Amino acid sequence: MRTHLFAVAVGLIVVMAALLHLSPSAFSQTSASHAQGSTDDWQQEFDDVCSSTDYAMALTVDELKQRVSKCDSVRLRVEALGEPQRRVYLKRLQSCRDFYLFLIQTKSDNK
Amino acid sequence: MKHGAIILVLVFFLTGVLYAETGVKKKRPLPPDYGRLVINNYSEKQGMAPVVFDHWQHRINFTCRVCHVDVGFAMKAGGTGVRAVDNMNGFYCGACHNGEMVFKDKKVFASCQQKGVYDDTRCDRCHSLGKQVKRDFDFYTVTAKFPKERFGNGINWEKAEEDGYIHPASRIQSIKIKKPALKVQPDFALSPKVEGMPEIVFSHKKHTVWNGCEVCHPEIFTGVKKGLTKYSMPEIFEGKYCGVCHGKVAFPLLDCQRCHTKPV
Repeated sequence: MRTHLFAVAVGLIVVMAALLHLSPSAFSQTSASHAQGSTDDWQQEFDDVCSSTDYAMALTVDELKQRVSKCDSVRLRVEALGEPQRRVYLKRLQSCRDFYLFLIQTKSDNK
Repeated sequence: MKHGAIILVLVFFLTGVLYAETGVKKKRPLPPDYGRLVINNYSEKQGMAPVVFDHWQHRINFTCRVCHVDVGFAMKAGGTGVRAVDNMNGFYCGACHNGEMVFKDKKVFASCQQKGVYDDTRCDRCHSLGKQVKRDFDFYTVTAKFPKERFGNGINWEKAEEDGYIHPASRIQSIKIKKPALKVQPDFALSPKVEGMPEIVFSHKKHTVWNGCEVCHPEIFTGVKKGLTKYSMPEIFEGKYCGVCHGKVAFPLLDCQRCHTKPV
């Protein structure tokens, strides 16, 4: 019984090693697509948060505060990017954030 | 003694002439030159001629917000600090000038490309200060039929759009951000400080459609509560508030009736 288990374990190791050896590209592709996926994630988040500036006047103070928080979370991810992406998107993100803050202030003043 | 007085008078006279020649009075730019920028953050340091950018050529095709919001150009000349590598990576000028974008059935020429490779036919199209570069578009030919104005480019851009001469796009292919339809804010009137001066009617519609919201708020106009911020003409002439655009790219401040429109 013990010999059988050992043989199965060795067999599994051999099969996995063969898979790794035969198709290393499959693994690198997975990690590349993951990296691509995470790039798209921040881009998607950035687009989502900055695309609401045009109708931001119609948002409530709470909704605006949510967007400010979202800007802050996207900012962390943008700061990790390389140049020139980092510089370009940080500036754009800052202008969205400032605008939401400006509206929060305006709406609070008008209450 | 008499000679001394004559010399003194002559010195004063010549100094006056010299000052008049060098000029402290601002010369009004010709229509094609109005809104022209010279960008020289890094060009000369890299042995290139500074970039000459004509606003008129771009505003015919795009709204202000495309470049100043979506692409991310600063509102101050030279404030962006564009590098060749940024353009090569598809940012700033490279967002459109990438050799791939097709606009009005024409491929938009590529801006900076391979590092260290100087191609005078391409580079000189932008790095053109002090060079005799033949432009694809001549200002007077392009704008011949446009409705005219007295100052600035000599064009009433607002009317040019209304009459269908220009169709500024508010999106470009390389910027994927999708924005829902803009909610236009109501126009409002501002009372001038000088008695008898017509009131200023501010067109929120025109400004938001062309600029978006975040171009002006909060960077240029920090407060919107009516009467809270006191705008003065000297400050505007110095380039603050409306003067960030008006007097540089948008119609100049000499055109009083364009803003002071509501009789009191």
